[in-house]
Amino acid sequence: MNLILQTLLASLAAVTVENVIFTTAFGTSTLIELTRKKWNILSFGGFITAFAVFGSILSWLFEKVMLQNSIAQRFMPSVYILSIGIIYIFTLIAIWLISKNGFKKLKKYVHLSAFNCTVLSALFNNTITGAELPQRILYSAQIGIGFALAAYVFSVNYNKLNSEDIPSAFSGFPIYLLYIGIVSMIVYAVGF
Amino acid sequence: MNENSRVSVAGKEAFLTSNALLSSGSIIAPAVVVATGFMQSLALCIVFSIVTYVTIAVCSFVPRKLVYTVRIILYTFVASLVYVPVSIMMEGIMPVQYAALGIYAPLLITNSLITVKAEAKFYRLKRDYMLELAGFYVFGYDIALLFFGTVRELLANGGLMGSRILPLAVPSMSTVFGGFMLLAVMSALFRWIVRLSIKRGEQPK
Repeated sequence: MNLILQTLLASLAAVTVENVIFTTAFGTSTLIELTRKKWNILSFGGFITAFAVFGSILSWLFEKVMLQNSIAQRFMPSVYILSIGIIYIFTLIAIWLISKNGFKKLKKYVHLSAFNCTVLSALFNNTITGAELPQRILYSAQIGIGFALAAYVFSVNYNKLNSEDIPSAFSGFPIYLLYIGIVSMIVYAVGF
Repeated sequence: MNENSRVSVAGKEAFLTSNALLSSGSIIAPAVVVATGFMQSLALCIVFSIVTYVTIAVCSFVPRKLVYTVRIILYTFVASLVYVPVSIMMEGIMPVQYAALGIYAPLLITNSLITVKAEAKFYRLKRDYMLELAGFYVFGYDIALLFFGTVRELLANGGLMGSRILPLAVPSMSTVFGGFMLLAVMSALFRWIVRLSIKRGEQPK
């Protein structure tokens, strides 16, 4: 019980203090695009998490063979792309088989969440750390949940960020960046 | 449209009104985190330019009959293959700066010019014009990134390439939050200047 609680607390800390958007800027462009389109954060965060987790598992299987050879190592990015690609196709097929209406609604989330640097960074970092599979799954899940949390933090102030009080030169992209920068500074201070 | 005006329209779009970094806010992460100086920005520009442009050019031959999902996988897969010789080249010509880019360099294989802009814009145009426009977009991002990296180095270190120019330095400019804030201010300034120049251009003489 104590171990579960510790894992949960560590995960919570990782999601907030080591948040993927605010500390590494991975997926910032996607986050801004997602909020602009007013897409469902939960669905998108769910897909990011799923791609990161399943992508990590699949690339872990290939990694054992690829890392034994220095030339093959250089092709690891291609392995990541193929891993994500396989999950991308299976996800679309699965949603289509479950519900045709659901497919129409969700396919845009799947398209945008599959190939972006948030998911790819999870796969890269897992290879760099050389962690065991459970740790990889946990880390990938933290990245996905962290992204959803950042999207939520961003979306709660979306109306204020788009108010008429914002000087015209700063409206849109610059004010979004400034806001993310301020939250990033707070996260940096908390983690310091 | 004649050749000169066509190039002028494409250049205006890619450099000013839809600049990938300062107007559209694409490919922010590497700029904010690793473009902390001129040399790092230059290394990032080289990797980005070759990977993006070669991928866009090669993938323009991918048949549109293929379903979107397969096309996107192919684009990013081609980018990951293009990245291999680029990484070998960078290890030879700029080893220190390239190492400093960390995983931000290979992550460029999923940059939005390849995964979004190629489908939404480039591949809807005729190939020769598309190649021109894609080149301008890549070059527009490079110029903006080099400028951003230079200003950041100047502010963070109080000078450039080890020489002191400013009386004081703001080291926090090299942090992630410093990068976000500086990019926000530069983007606002850039948009203000572009709007002003467009307004002046529209005024009757």
